[in-house]
Amino acid sequence: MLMHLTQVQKLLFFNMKKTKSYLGFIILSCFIVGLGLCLLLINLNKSVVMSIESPTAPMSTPKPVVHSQISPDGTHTVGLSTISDTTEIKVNNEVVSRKPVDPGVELLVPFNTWSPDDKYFFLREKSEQGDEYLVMTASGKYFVGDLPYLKVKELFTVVHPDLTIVDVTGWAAPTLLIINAKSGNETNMSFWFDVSTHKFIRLSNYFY
Amino acid sequence: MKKKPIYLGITLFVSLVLGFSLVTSRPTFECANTGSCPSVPTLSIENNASGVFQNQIVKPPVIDLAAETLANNVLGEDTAQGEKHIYVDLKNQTLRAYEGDALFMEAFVSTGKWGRTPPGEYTIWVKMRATKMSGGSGADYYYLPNVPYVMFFYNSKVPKGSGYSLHGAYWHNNFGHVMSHGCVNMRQIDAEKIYNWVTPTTMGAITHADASNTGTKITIF
Repeated sequence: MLMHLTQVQKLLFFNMKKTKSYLGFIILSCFIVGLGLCLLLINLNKSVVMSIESPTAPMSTPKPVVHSQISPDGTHTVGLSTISDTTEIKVNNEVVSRKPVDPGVELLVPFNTWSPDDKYFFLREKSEQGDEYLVMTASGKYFVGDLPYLKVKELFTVVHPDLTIVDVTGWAAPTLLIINAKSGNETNMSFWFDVSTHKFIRLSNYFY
Repeated sequence: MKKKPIYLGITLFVSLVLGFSLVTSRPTFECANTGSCPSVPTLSIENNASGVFQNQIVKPPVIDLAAETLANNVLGEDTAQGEKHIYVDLKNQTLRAYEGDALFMEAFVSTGKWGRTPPGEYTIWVKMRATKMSGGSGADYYYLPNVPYVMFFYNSKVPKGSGYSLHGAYWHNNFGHVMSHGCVNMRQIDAEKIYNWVTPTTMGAITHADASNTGTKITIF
């Protein structure tokens, strides 16, 4: 075996008569690799050119949070009206819930308040202690446990005491509310809050 | 034996050329909906079908074409002057529609999360009242009948078969944030408004742009 290898080595690598052929092979290989790299670079440049576009002047954007919001299909509207020390929460002008006015707390209707099937909506309670998010049913029907609304932050803190909710952006599906959260060392975490099961589902990617 | 290195070189060269050809010959454009790409989109209305999105059953809107034809004929004429142009801002997830210098509307949109929305200058080539979109796999599988108010756009780099469009989205409500597979999602009420405004002027449930009824330009940046 050793003798055979030595013969092969001699035949392939140490035979001076074949040096020119090897040289040709190496030059040809270098040329092909170089050509390939050039074509690859040209292709990459094309992709870069395709993605660069001149931006236009920015304008004011729609308000993300208001006191009234229509559903995406235009069939339902949730509105807030405060009378004396009570805020009335209305769907299509029908009162579905009442909430005492809390000094230092502002109740707001986010832009994406409505679930895609118009069965639920969520409100934002803005305060110095941090925002709370309330999920309600459009019919005014209470949740299991005789709850008029689900307090998302309160429920989330029980399950994930080390995390802080940064934002609740909207609905990923009819019962899935999108929650962005952070911890001391991790900033971009997303969860779904399933309003039908009251469970939080950690997502592998961030919903920005 | 003497010629072996030359043969090896030739074999390597041919393999590399073939390999490179294979890599470069695949379509350079992306695809908005893998379930239908690169087929030409068609008008599709299925009022009894259910959709699937994020592993949940979603109910598509019911579309009654006969009733809508009557409604469209009653709509007032557009009196504003100037070229119509739509701008989609990927960073801020907004859409603005202008007629000349006049702002017609602005709205939050949802662009590509699971697929990229390619920036560029586009033209609407067909609009249709509804179509079916599907794609993805596993937890990302989606099947969406009756996608409403669809305005397909294209350019020289993003061909018609790639399926990119502006359209209404009934399966989520997360506008102002990325949420699509590459298309520009809008609330149904916003999509309806812009669908009735853009050119080609609506001539029925499906309208192709042509020399006498050109498509509105769209800039995605």
